[in-house]
Amino acid sequence: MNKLEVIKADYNETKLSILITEVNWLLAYWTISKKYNNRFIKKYGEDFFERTKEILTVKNLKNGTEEKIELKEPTNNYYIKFNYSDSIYQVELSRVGKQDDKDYGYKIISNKIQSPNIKILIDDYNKSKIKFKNIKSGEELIETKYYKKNENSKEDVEKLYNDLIKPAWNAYKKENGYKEK
Amino acid sequence: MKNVKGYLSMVLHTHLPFVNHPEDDNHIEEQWLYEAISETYLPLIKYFKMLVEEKVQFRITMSLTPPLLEMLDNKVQQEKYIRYLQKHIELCQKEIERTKYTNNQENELARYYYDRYSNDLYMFKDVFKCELIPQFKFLQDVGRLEIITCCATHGFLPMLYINEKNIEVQIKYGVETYKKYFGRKPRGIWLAECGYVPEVEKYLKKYEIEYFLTEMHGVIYSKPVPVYGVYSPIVTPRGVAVFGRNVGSTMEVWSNTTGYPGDSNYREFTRDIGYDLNYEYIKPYITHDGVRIPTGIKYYRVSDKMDNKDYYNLQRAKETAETHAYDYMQKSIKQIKMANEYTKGKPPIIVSMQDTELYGHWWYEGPYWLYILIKKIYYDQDEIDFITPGEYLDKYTELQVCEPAISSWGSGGTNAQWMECEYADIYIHLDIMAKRMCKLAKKYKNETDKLKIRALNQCAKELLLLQTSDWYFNLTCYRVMEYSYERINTHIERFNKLYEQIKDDKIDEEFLKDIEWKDSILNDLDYRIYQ
Repeated sequence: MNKLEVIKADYNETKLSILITEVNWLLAYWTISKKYNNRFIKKYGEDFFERTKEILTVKNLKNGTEEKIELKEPTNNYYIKFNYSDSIYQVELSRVGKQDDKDYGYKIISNKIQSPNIKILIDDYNKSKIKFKNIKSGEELIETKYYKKNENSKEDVEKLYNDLIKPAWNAYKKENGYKEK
Repeated sequence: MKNVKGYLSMVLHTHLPFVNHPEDDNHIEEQWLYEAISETYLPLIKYFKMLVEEKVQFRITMSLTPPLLEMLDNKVQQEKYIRYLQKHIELCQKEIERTKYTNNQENELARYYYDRYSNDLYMFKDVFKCELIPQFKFLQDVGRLEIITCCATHGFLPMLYINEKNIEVQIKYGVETYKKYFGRKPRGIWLAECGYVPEVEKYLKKYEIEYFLTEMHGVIYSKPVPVYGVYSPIVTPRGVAVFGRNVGSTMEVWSNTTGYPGDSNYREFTRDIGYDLNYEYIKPYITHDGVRIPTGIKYYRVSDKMDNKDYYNLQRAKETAETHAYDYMQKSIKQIKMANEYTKGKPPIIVSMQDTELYGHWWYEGPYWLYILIKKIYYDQDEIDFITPGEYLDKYTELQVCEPAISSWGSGGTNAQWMECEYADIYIHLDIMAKRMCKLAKKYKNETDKLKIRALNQCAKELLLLQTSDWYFNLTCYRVMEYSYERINTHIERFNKLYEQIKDDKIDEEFLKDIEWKDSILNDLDYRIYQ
């Protein structure tokens, strides 16, 4: 075996997984057992794989949308771009008829993942939703002695982020290859 | 009495992957540990102990990862480090002779390196009796260091959380290893690569971790928006505190383009006599198969010129480190004063997080810079003070409740530095092996056969060693490729071979004994955790 390759993952098991790779990309990767494939050959004939195409369905479980991607080449992984941060995604790998999109029940379902939030949620600032907790006693507090009424208005918080946090964060992102989109 | 307006929290992440080759006397990757001991750990211990003797108050936080602790505690590795030092001393003696009549500057530096490696040998062997962990423990026990833990084998949790058992085992054995070496439970954890996903939180709570650290966006992208930014920790809904990295303060010491380490008075990292000198001369000090490697003996300072670099001047480098320490202190004070206007009287905290190896290994003058910074903050001002995250939580108990954002400190802020499509087979191995480990643990939960228990425990160790983030980082960065592949394939092979042997009830004891000897990490691990 070449010193610069990994042992092939040949476990004869069926599993589809998805993981986030970048802020709006996920990687789907899978392995399918011979037993699983043979079930469909037995039921639908030797040419089942020639008659069907492989589809990845990307589901956003938070807003109910889905997108279908046809896989043109045989592979065991695929990068998928997603559009919504802070959503829940799940992917299905299926085979449907090449001509008629007929569903043969060939369907492998992935784990669910949460996509990362990629912005400062300053626009959603709502003072009534700011809660504190005493980490020693566990007591929940509406405010602390440092966070009194009429202080830390949205403008205060915005100013903190604009003056101190964003300049440092933006400079760092530039140096560190961080992508927002 | 200081009139403290805010705090500086220096958090150093001390990690090396578990590299242990008792079968080989000259395994190049084992040198990572020896270089780190000489260039980073011994200098830091030296300066911290000097500060204790000088009665300078300071607080530094350090993670010491389980793989590193296991290697520092390994007797064979300790003996190999002594041989490494002896070889270096021998090379320095040759260098003193070689440069005696030809080059004053090189000769002076050769003498410096001779003294330095000789002192390392004396300190390590005669003073510390080869044991560095008790030195760190001492510094924690006298209240200068807050040592925190890390994931058991530095598993990058955003890559492993599909099977939550992976997370639990990484955290549990991070905590257990810490208890074994420090005799108390850790207050905090450095999640490997600062990799955070929400699934982690319940296990942090379960194993009584009070706080963890994230990259800056782990906190500033939280929900709802943290009103104090990264100038105060937040607390998760389950009650674990989160400190966000202050990237502004980190970049000063971390960036080799805009940060201090790029100053032209500091020692150049890349030029080394291992690459520069006559091949036959240097041959006994490079790899057995004749590949040139760095020796640690470097004569030049940073400059733009690649070939004709200027000689390194120790005194000038020290003076520059002192200037930079003063600059860092001033910038920290300025930042604290500005942040104070927004935190409504709650003293802000600057959390500056770096790899410990930056200090000494990458930035040769780093340990001295830190020593001077500590002294300056103690003696020369009264507006900021050092604090550890644990101490901050003792003083300021009321934190904003937020859900931290999914994040890592990798390039791009997520997972691309550890995950690429061309390595999909590895992620399949990781998933299926974890699934198989859980199956084994369930099937053999009441196992009493000692040999089978050993095999099951070793299986779990092989899975954990495969999860080490360093191998994946190396692959995506195209560095140490061959060794990283070797390690990945070795752990896959060993796991699967044992898995089949356990299933078939045909355990090859000699094979098991051999890999127990080589992969001798987490020896208190109990496979039943995977049930």
